[in-house]
Amino acid sequence: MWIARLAVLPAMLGLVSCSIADEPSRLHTTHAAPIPSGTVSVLDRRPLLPTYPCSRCHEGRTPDPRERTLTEFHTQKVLDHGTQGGWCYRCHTPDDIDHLHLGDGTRVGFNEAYLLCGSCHGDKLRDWKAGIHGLTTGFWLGDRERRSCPACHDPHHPKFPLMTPEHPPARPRTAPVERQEAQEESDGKEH
Amino acid sequence: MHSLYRFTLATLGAMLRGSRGYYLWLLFLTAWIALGALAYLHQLQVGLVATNLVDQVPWGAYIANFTYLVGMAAAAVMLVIPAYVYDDHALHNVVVLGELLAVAVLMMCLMFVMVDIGRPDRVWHFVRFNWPSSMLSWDVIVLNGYLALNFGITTYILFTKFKGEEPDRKKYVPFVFVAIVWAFSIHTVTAFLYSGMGARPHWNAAILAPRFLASAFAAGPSLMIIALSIIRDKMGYPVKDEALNRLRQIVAVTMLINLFFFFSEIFTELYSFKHHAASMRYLLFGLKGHTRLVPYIWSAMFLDVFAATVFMTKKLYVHKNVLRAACAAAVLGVWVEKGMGLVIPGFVPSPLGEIVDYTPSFTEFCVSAAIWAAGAFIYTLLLKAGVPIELGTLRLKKAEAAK
Amino acid sequence: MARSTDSPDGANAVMSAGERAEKLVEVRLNEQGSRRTFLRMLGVGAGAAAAASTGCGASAPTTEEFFRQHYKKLTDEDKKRIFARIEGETLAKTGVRTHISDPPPIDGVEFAYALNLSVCNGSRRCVEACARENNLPDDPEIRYIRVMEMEAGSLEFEDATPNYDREKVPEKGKFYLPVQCHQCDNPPCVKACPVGATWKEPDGIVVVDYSWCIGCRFCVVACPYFARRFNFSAPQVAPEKINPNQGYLSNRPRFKGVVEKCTFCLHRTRKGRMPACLEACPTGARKFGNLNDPNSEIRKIIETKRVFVLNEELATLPRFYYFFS
Repeated sequence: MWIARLAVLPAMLGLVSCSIADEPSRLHTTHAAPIPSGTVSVLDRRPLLPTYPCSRCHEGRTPDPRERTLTEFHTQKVLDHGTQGGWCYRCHTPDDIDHLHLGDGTRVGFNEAYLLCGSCHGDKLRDWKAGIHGLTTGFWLGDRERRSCPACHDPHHPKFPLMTPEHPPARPRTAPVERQEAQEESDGKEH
Repeated sequence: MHSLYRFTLATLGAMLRGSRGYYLWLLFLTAWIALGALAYLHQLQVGLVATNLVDQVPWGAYIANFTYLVGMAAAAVMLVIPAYVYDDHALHNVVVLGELLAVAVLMMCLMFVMVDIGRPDRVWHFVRFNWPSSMLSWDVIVLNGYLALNFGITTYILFTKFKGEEPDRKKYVPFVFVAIVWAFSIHTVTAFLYSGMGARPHWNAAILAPRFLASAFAAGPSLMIIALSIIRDKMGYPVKDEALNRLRQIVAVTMLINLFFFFSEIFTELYSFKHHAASMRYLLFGLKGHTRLVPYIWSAMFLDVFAATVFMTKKLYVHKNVLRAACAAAVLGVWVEKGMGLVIPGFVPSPLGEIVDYTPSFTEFCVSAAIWAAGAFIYTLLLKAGVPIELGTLRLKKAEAAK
Repeated sequence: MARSTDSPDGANAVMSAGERAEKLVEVRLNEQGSRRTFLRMLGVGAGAAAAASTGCGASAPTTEEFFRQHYKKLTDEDKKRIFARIEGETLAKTGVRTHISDPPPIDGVEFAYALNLSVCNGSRRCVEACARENNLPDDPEIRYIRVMEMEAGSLEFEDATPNYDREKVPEKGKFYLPVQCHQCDNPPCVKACPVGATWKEPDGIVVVDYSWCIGCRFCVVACPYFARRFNFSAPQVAPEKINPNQGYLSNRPRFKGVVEKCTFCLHRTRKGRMPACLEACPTGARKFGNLNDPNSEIRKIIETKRVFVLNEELATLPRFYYFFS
């Protein structure tokens, strides 16, 4: 019975859904590894990368493999990822700048960056594939979109940035609090 | 039916006639009732924001008073048990007065519930009773049943006496025995309202129902002692000293039991000092600087101990004024212990660990005072009609009965 | 090939990853907002005048409201009439054209929620998104979700606070635990209600019939998660903030003197959508789905992660699972 309902729902969803379904950047990308559930898609990252395709600038240039601090371009890309050090070409491919590469040299597109991340962060990749890790948008009953790792974790400095929280809940109207007490509470002190 | 009509007229007439003192007393009460009525109108207009209740402390003065008064109503049974079960003749002639008190007090209970609910216009929704799951649905049934029982029994006794006949024991004594059991049930059900709440560790204890009953049976007879003394002095009703002494004996025991139960609770909670004891710590010592209830509970304990001491010490209780002071202390002490000492700490800390202090607002104070005044008003009226009937001075005139 | 004169590190240089994530969520919510604004435009003219003349909200119930039956006793005819009346009242009072639906539970679906405590950063985006979705008033402030800042190493609420007011989260040494209605399988609130105004639906959601609740607050007393809210005064929601997509059992206009709570956005989730809190979460800490679907994320979380529930000893059997990933 509920299966019949499932068939009808996509039509219903078309009527009541907001513009999620019309999102222009949604593309089905090809995956090197299968993601469970055919209704899940990974959002295309490339339109969000302002400097993509890299070959626009890098084509015809000789790659300079010396490890150094960049001074002319990509100066913001200070690498703060892990303790092993490393440099741009740990992940970027000097002679195929529009692709990344895995440890064994296999080329990987920017949309499949999760394979590269997952080669070290395997448990996160496992959770991400199951939908446990990472932001999911869409419908629990219907199409869902997920994002490849770099959408939230800049690979150059992947720590998830601090955020400013929304305002705290209003105090009960019968118990307004002195600023002193509020500050102490914020600091976790007992008074 | 003709005599019933005359009975109604006669009782109403008795209620409307009285001395200057009587009218002044009723006027005094009416002033409080009027003030409370205005306050309640304000509350109806703006909602319960007129109280100091918040999501963290959803029940306060109204329900605390309700809980206390259910105990009072149950305690009327204290007079009934010795009189009927043990055939204690000294108490026989005061039983009706106790039951009339139960009627007045029960009406106060119902009033306190009415002013507390957010949508009094939806009272008819009780037709969809969530019985037997909801303890509140049980409470509504047993309270109304107890009211009907007491009202029925007293009306029967007074009506037959009014007609100059002797009430037929076979007709009302079975109901009296039902009322005895029922009285225990009303306060037990009210206690289960609290002790069933897993979310509130301060209440979620087996001893809560025994505590409720013990404290009710300490405060109720104390109030009766005071009331009977006043009735004896002001209305010339013959209350035997034996009757008052019997009541004193009862409260001596019940107040000790009440104190023991409370002590037992304190020990259990504080010995292991687990997190669930936070409410008890808040009550007795204050929690994180919030000490609002501390003076109240210690005062209440002092009052209770004072009352118990007087009740047990002959040298003290033979002095009528000392006895009355002790009774007042018992009434007040139990009131504080149940209200501030039990209902409010149940909400502190909240299930998410928040501490929110509560003190009744002006509106709550006015409405609560008005309901107490209304209860006194009702009891005064009931006594004004009931005492003369008991004394034999208010009777159906034989000439009219023959018509 | 000539080099582009635009510096790649120019004005719209790469945003930080977190900002990107936030922007995605913002864009989504704004899109919903623009649709709402369009619908609202339809009634603004009359609304302005009506709103100004409303004054303080009417307290007395109408005859229809007074005699209205319990939700479970309403026929489809009744519902049509009632919904039309409510929509008309909202239009007259605020100028906003709303649509009240009553989606039935989907057969075979049992909802559950999971929350990843390793990832929640205490941003409270969920709290505000829920407020906007469910027409929660700002004055007095009612919020269904409460985010507790917990001391690392302890799940004890006595040492936690919902009132953290920080420049940046997460704070070192703390973790964040949002609490909302857990839609328990053994709900103490349902047991407590004397008039049956709250009950558990077949898909697991515990709902409240706002038109049946008498406001006794016994359910508020009974809930061990501080999930239920009472309207101590008439809730005021600014017309421009009203969400016109409403459900009779979820986010339709409520009134003073009744209880309300999180309903897992049943006006959305019963149509296949995600709850608003999940969509707003910037870190992906929230997961929701159908327990009966073996491929759902929620099933996978319960089967593979070390999930736990709050106040387990009270045997409320919540449908809200916490885990550390």
